[in-house]
Amino acid sequence: MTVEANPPVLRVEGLSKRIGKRMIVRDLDFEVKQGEIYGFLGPNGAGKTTTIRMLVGLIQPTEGTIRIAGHDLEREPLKALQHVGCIVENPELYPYLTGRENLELFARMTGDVSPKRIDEVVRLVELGHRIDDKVKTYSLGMKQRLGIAQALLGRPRLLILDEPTNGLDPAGIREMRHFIHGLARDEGISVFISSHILHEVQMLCDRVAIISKGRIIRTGAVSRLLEGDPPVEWEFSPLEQGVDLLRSLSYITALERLSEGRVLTRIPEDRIGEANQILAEAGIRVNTIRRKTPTLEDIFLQMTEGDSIA
Amino acid sequence: MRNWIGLVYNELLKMVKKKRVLVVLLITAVLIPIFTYGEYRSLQNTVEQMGTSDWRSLLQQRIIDAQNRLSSSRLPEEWKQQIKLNIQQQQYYLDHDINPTAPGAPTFVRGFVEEAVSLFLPLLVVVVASDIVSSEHSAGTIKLLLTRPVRRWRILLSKYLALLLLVSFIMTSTAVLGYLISGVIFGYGGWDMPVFTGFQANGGELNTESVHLIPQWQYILMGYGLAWFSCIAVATLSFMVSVLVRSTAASIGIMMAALISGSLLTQLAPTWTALKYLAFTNLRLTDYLSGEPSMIEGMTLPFSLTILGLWSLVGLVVAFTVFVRRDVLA
Amino acid sequence: MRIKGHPVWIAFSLFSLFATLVLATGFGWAVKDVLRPSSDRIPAGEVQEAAGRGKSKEALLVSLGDSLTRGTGDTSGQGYVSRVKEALREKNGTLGAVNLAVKGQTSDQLKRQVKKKRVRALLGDARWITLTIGGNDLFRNSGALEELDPEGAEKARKAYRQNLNEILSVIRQENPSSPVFMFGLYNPFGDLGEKEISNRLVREWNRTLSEVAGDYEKVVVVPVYDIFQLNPEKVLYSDRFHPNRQGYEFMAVRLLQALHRQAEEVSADDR
Repeated sequence: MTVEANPPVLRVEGLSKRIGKRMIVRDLDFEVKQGEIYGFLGPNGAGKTTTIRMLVGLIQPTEGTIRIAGHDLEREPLKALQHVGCIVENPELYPYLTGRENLELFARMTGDVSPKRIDEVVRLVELGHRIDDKVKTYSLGMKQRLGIAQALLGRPRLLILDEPTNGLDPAGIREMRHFIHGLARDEGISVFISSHILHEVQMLCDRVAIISKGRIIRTGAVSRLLEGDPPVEWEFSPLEQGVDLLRSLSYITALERLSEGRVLTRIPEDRIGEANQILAEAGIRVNTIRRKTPTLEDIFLQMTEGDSIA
Repeated sequence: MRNWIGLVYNELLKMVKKKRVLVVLLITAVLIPIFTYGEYRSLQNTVEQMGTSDWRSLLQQRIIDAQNRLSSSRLPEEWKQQIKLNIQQQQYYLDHDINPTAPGAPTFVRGFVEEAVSLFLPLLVVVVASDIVSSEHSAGTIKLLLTRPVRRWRILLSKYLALLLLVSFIMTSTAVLGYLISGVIFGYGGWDMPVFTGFQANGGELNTESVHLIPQWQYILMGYGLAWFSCIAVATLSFMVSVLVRSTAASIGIMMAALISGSLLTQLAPTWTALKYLAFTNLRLTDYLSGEPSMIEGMTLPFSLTILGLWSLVGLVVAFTVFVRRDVLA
Repeated sequence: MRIKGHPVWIAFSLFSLFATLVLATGFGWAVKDVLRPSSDRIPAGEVQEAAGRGKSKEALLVSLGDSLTRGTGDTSGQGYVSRVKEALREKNGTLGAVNLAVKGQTSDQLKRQVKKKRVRALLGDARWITLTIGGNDLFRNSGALEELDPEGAEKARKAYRQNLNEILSVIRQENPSSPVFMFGLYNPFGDLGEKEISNRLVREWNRTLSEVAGDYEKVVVVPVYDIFQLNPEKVLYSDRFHPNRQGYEFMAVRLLQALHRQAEEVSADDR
């Protein structure tokens, strides 16, 4: 990307939120650049939704600043929000109004939206044939698309989506992914997406921040997220001997014993065969070697294990 | 300005499309024929009993009946006072040969607003006003509403303005419906009929010094104007409750309980004068027009207006403060 | 370019706005009128005079007096008036009835009542007038039952005579032709001690009543003294003062007898 010179579309510094005595979110720092799809990854309850609500002004931060397109959200909320389109959690629109009435309603509140723009976003999300029906007759996917249409009305520079594929079927998820890619590529919109599904973030995002228990524990390009070694599951016997042997290998970065004699390791892909050979030569019978798709939990495991090893 | 019109239009559209307004109008349209028939029945009944349709005889009989009620010693002193004033007022009508209840749709409308001001109209208002903010919370649409580049107080104010418009609409509709429906039985004439106003209770005596006649249409307009003020006070307090409570059902429940206990308390404990500082004991503003003596002593129109105004002001301040500052969690 | 609203809802909004303005005007007007009543009064009284009185010229029964005419003590709630009314209705068809009696009313109060404009008008329209008055004068002014105050009673009787005179003359002024049926007094204490004194008082008052009645045309005294003389507990209500259902029944029968006899006389005169 060649946008380094521009100010970031979203810059968050030292963001914290305390509710009662609990720190929900603690000291977040991150930046979203123009045209970038930024993932905000974390398990449920990690503070994702609270953070997103702070980004769009629904919750006042206890500390820290949020700047959207260079405008401080606290001091210039209108200028800042002018550049944001969002769906927080589910796309909750007014079910007793038609799709078009909903859009018109939000258009009147956004200012500077022409009737032409409404037609444009309706075409963009491909809702043309149902736009004059009441929203209560829509499927979840259609509501999701109407939600996005609503978010795009004011030509935002930043689109904030909270778990956008929640509740969609596989086809819907694929469609959504395609759509979001298109937005970032064709319109240069930055997209901030929260998710608890690693796979989704992998498929969609350029960069990612991983949040756990209210703190960001890692940020970086998605391509580097899974850097380090893929998880591999082993089954062999005798168990103790094999574990000791694997532990002694320098290229195995993490090892965890699972139930029923299974062992999970982190090992560079090109060394799996070598490790297998070493085990075999030591007279250990290897029954299974299973390459696993990493889950969010695996990454957490890797990171915490990595910490403890280092 | 243009912005404002858009915002208020939005809120009005939401309220109307939610069908609550329709329900309220339907309730009115169902109840008014019943009221009309009830009044017709009781009129017929008296005429049959008395064997005359001459209002003077009927009114004279009513005065005598009230006098007889007065002589029953078990009546609380406050009620006696009220009956006495009533008798004096009716006698005044009789002495001046003015029929206070000449049948006709306008008379029905006048009687309707005088009766409905304390409970019926406020209940209708509560039904509409109670979900104006709480429904956005329970449906989750508040998140979309508050992430617009519009200040929160503007959003809330546009809701309040829309509510005021709607209250006016509902009240006018009840008058129109009442007129159209009751006219079927009572006839549509009688706008110019003279009505007395300006009675003042002065320590148990009726002061007729400033009594004067006005045409009935003016009386209805003034009565509805006063009822409108009461209803706006009710709407404002419902509005506040709707901001504070996130469930529409709870907010309707709270307001109904407050309204009904307000109107009950005045009847149960008329000697408890502190009650006059409550908002909902001051709703019967039309009584100051008709000269109906107030239950609790020391209540005058300026007093009631002040109390209602103060409560509304407090309600608005609370509503705006909370709404602007509050975090929108789940 | 601006997002337009739907014409229906724009009209609705404008109508609501208009309604708000109208109601606000009404409110302002009302406040002004209550606080500072307008000086240009329409003189009351002239307005509806043209409407005329007594559109219905059907037969009217007007009852005046005290609790006896009210029917106090009759658990069926009818009193003698309703019974008489029913009987008359059976005979005459449609019939109006106005009961202007007030519980506890004395002759002095009745005197003031009949002078009221509206009451006069009713009396003028009446075809029959019934009346009970005097009981409250007698038993209230004569002191406690145990020690009757003969002097007080005597004074009260004189006042009674005068009041009754005035009442009957007003009635005759307004209505020279319709018959007036006036019940005599009875002694509710006839079976108690001191009954000689109370009996004597009631007889004296009854005599006064009859004397006054005699001075006017078509004023019929309906005696009930005898009904309550023997076995008063059979015809008295539990307050031992007012008649009970049975008592009112007797009173109604008496009155109807007098009324029919009078009616026969009238028809005989006609022939």
